[in-house]
Amino acid sequence: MRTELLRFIARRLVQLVIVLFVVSIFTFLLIRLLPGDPVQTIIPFAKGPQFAKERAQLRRDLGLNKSLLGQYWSYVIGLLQGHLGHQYSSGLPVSTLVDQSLPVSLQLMIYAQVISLVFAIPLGILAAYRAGTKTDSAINTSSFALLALPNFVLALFLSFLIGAKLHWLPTAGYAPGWLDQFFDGSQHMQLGQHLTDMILPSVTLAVGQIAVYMRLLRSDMIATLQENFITLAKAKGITNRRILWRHALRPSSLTMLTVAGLNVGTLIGGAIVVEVIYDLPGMGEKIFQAVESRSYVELQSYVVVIAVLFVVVNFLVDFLYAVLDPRIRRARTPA
Amino acid sequence: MAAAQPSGPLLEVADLSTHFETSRGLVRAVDGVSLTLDRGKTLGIVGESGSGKTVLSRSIMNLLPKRGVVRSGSVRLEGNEILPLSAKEMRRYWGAQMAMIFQDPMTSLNPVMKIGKQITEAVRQHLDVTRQYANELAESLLASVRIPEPHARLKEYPHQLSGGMRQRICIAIALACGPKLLFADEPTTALDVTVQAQVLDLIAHQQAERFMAMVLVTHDLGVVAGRADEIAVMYAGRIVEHAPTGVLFANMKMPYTEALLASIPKLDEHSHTRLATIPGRPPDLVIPPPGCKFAPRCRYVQERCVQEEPPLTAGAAPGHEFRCWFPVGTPEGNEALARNEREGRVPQAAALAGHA
Repeated sequence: MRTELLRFIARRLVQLVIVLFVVSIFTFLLIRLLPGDPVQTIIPFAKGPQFAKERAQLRRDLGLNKSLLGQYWSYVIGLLQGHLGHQYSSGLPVSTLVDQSLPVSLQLMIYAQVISLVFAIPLGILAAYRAGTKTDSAINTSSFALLALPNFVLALFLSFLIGAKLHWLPTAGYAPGWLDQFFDGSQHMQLGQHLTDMILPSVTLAVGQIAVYMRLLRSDMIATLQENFITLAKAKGITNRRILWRHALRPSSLTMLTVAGLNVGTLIGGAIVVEVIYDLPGMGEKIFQAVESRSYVELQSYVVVIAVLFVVVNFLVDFLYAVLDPRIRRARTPA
Repeated sequence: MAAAQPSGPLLEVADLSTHFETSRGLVRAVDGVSLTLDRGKTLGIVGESGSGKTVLSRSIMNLLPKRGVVRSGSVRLEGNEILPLSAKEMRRYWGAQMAMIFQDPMTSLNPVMKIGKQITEAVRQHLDVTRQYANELAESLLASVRIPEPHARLKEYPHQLSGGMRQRICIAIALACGPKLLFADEPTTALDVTVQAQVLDLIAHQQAERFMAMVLVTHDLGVVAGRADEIAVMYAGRIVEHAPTGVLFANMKMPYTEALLASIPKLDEHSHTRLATIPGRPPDLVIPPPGCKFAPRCRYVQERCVQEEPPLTAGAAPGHEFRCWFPVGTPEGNEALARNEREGRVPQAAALAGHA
């Protein structure tokens, strides 16, 4: 059993490397496909022909004089060494910016996922168990109402009510949490303040996901509850709670987990809005600024980081499948 | 422990009906069934698909879904009425007093739970034992259902075992808490022919060793022939013939029982002999025919059968009951059959099948 699991992981790791290779090609080409010349963006032609020398220098600095393959090669080597280029406005290495902002966004997304799952799983189980009753429709209706609420509306509403009116929670600001110190050694954890700061942003980001996860779990769970092994579990005389949580939840959770993994993309989009509104120094805010100032090199690095994050999270979801369902460990997936 | 009345029958079912509410109307899946079963005895329930035998066993155990199901009548276990009990109250009985082996072992075990856990969770629920004791019990149960290397199997998942092995696991689960009453719902239908007899013998052996009563549900008269003390033949949600096994085979009265027996292939027939079948299908249980439910398919059918439903009447041998106006082997029955042959009258269902 153990070796089966290890073999499964090894197979998936090989796939992971291939996917990351493809991702690196795409992000590399992405920037090259954009209209315009980065050199021309940094030193516009309008400034006059006297800057030709500087332009040529810049072109060499950026490595744009090399062939496309040569550019890709140095790009990949750079990536492997953790060089993500420099922010042109400040001259700071982008890797430093990522180190400062990535943990903020990661923690935000983790909290949002945890909050939405903590609500969605019991609600989904209850809705499935009571499928077709008033409880079921009450859960459905209210979670869909929350899904329909755009996160910027919710963010503004929450910061107005809880923050400005009631003064219960801060509406802006950030204190380093448990993850920041691993990326940036100069950060010192202030967990209490960190969690207080993160409540509103995380809840805002989580609310819309609850309905999605709840619905997926509910429909899979309804199907699972029809299974013979559930009747057998009932015939053993074990409690309903145990049947629902120990027997039915695990085999019903795969679709929900898949979507939770793919949802990282949605969450990053949501994080941009949420971070800007709640003034969190995360990736979302950085991306927003990079788009605004057309810092393509910087943006390219963020895309790489997000793509890697996305692929790694989905690798972890695949791994979770194998933990949750022993039958998957044996399945030969085409690599 | 409720060992209060060791003298009375273990299970008494009186006038049990189970109706399903569907969009088409009320489906009378079980309709006025009465039976009793003594400790250590085996009752075989026989009928074709859709005759209500599976619903009957699940109705007795109260394992049907709550919504859309209406049960009435009485089910007594050791004299205690259990029909009106809620699922919560039934939990004391499920697994501990009465257990069930299901038809399809491939889908009856939880695919994501280790076999050991699936056995011990019931044990831990009903008996106040330590985890270690429960594990040892599970191992000895696996050994008693003749699973090789029981200790190693505890840590395995169902998909690592064959169908026959999985059914043995299901049997071990059913036996785990020492129930007094075991329902075996077509326990070998989904298995390879080669292991069917092994599994049935295993169940019979464990039943004798533990002095359990058993309700053996099957569509195959051959399965219950050597194993049941009594046989109840079901048709359209009713018991149409009920007798001690010897009496039933020696002196069956109900044409349906006769037809079931005739449809078993026989070894001494030439190969390529056409198998006997019962023409037509069981009746629609939403709008059952007014008279005898089997009349449309019966070789003995007369005017009276279509108009008037025969009651369950006692036969000559003690414990023999059947529903028929023109029973097999009686002068009335012979006359009915002869008249049908003379007049070229065939059962309605057979006539329809002939046209099709």
